[in-house]
Amino acid sequence: MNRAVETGLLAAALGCAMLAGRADAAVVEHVMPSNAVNYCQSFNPGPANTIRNRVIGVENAGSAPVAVACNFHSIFTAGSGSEPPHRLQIVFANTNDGGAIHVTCALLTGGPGFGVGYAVVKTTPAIPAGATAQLTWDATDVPRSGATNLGNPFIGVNCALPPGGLMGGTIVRWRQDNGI
Amino acid sequence: MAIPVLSWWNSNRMSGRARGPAVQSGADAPSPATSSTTLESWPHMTDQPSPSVAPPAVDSLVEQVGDATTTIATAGRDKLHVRFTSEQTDAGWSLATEQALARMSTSPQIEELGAKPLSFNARCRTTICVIHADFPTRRTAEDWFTLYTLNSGAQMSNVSVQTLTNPNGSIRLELYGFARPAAP
Repeated sequence: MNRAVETGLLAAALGCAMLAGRADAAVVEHVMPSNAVNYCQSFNPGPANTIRNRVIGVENAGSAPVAVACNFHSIFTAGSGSEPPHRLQIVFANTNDGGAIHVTCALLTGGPGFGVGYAVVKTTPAIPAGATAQLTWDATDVPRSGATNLGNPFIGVNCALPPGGLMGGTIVRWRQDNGI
Repeated sequence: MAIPVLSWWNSNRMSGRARGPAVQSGADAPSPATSSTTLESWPHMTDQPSPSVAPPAVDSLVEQVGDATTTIATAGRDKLHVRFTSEQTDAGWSLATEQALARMSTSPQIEELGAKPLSFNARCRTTICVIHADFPTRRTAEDWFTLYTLNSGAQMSNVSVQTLTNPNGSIRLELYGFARPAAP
């Protein structure tokens, strides 16, 4: 075979091999579902507290709103292309036969001791008895320009759970470049 | 924070092998061959950890959390502050909103926690409000902020907070909040 043709074929083969390798490159979307009982607790626990920690969710069985605090796991692998979570969803249900409810939650990220903070507060639409609704926070809620995630490995919410309000499923998502 | 976490990680990793036989010593323990194979197949139970598994860079995580917290809070505060200073005052809306925000500054749960502010002042313009609230301690200030963001959530959606110390030692929270959703 002509040397020039040989060289050309070899270059093409190498190119194909490299492209084949790059075909494995991916940004993997990790989805971490859980029930709220795993991550949430009453803001002010005590014997008079009316929060029920059910397997299917955290329910306010009392007659007045109760504040609930939740903080979620994220993954931190320094230098390997993982990002802080980019999306948090929480599903709420209404177990109160008396009528519709709204649930208000404030997203808070970061830790204490910095003297500053930023909260993004959202309220569900009216949730009729026996129905569900959800709240979602994502990078668009971060005030920093060009944000692609929630900006911090530590993410959590405070929620005002009304009587009959139940916090059910929580879903945290984050992305990781597989490094190829 | 980093050193205790790393120490815990190392001691836990090293003691894992030592704990192994004790777990197997009961009457119901599986056969030695089975238990040995199972334990040795766990990377963290061996003396030779895989080189691909590095300990987490906890120092880096702590640094990242601090930077991220400050960056986001500062960006949010700057946006709201710039907007507040450039707005005219919508007299009707601002007065009604200031009164609503003041009404929400206390609630049965805030009182139950002893977190009622010593003083409270809200000033609103067209979409942004700035709130100053004073507290005897940092704890009461933190408790109040947690509950106030929920009380006022229907009124104020994005809130930046900065903690200041007054000359008399009391704690002042300065909040900037977006209080007027865009028309649908």
